[in-house]
Amino acid sequence: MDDKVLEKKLRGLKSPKLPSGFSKQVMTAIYEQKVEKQSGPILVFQRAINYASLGIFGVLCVYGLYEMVLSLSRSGVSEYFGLIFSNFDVFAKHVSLVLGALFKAFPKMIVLEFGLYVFFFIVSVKMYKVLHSLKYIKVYG
Amino acid sequence: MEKEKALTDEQIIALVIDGKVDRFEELVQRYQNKIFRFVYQKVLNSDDAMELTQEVFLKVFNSLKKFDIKRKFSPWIYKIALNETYNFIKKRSRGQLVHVEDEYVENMVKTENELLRDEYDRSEEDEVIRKTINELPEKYQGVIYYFYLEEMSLKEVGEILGIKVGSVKTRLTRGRRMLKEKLLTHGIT
Repeated sequence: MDDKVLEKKLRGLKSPKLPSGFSKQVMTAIYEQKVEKQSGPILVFQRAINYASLGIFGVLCVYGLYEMVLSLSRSGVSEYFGLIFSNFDVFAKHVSLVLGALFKAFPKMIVLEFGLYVFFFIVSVKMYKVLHSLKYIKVYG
Repeated sequence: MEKEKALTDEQIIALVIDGKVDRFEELVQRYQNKIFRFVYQKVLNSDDAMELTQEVFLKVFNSLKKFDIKRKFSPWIYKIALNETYNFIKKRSRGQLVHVEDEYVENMVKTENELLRDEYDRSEEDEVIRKTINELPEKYQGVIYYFYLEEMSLKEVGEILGIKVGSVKTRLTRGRRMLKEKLLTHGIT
């Protein structure tokens, strides 16, 4: 095949065309993407809260376990669980109030995740208080 | 009143980076057909090429801050288009592409495609030639495509590919020879 024939064939290749308004379609996709990105800080904030509450929960759990072991070694098992159950009604009331408020404020699933952290946080605080009171009773009572 | 001079690609990018996002549309309008034809040559399907062209512009927009304003924009956008196309082809060959299921979008695309097909009557020979170009080694595909199909000058081809004009000429000669041999085996004389 001659070079000129090849050149003619190559230059004569037909291509499909883009529909009119394609640039508008691209710009719409860009703006939509920007809106999605703007919601990014909210997600970061949500994650920060989650990690913070998880961290607090973790620290309190470790501290709680430490106190529990100490208390159990100082008092008996029955005295220890007796104190926890005597405070349980107040504790349950607090949890249901917090979760109820959260469900009203945020109707989506993140509430469950957040609610669980709150729940664990309250449990940890409660455990800390109970254990602390046990220690108090044991030392000063 | 003096007519306002058209801004260069690089000046438009500076404006977009500065927050004037709507100016990006000018770049899209300048390059949309070039990029569409470029990716079409690789994927040989107008639906895929259209989707891919949009992906390329989104990628360009998201990477604008990485672009060195002292360099030329056109080689950069072609490089992005080439990378996106190869990623697309890889995904397609692995069967990983997700198809849009939204009925409205599908119908819209169908209508657009019917219009495209009306305007574009692709001959069998065209298809064979395009496929044969894609069978060439990468370095010859580029020069053949830019020089013949896009009708760029030797200098422009060199700029896009980052090679000297002399190398463009050498590649063109070798690429042409290989292409002719391959076309002969496909029965095109």
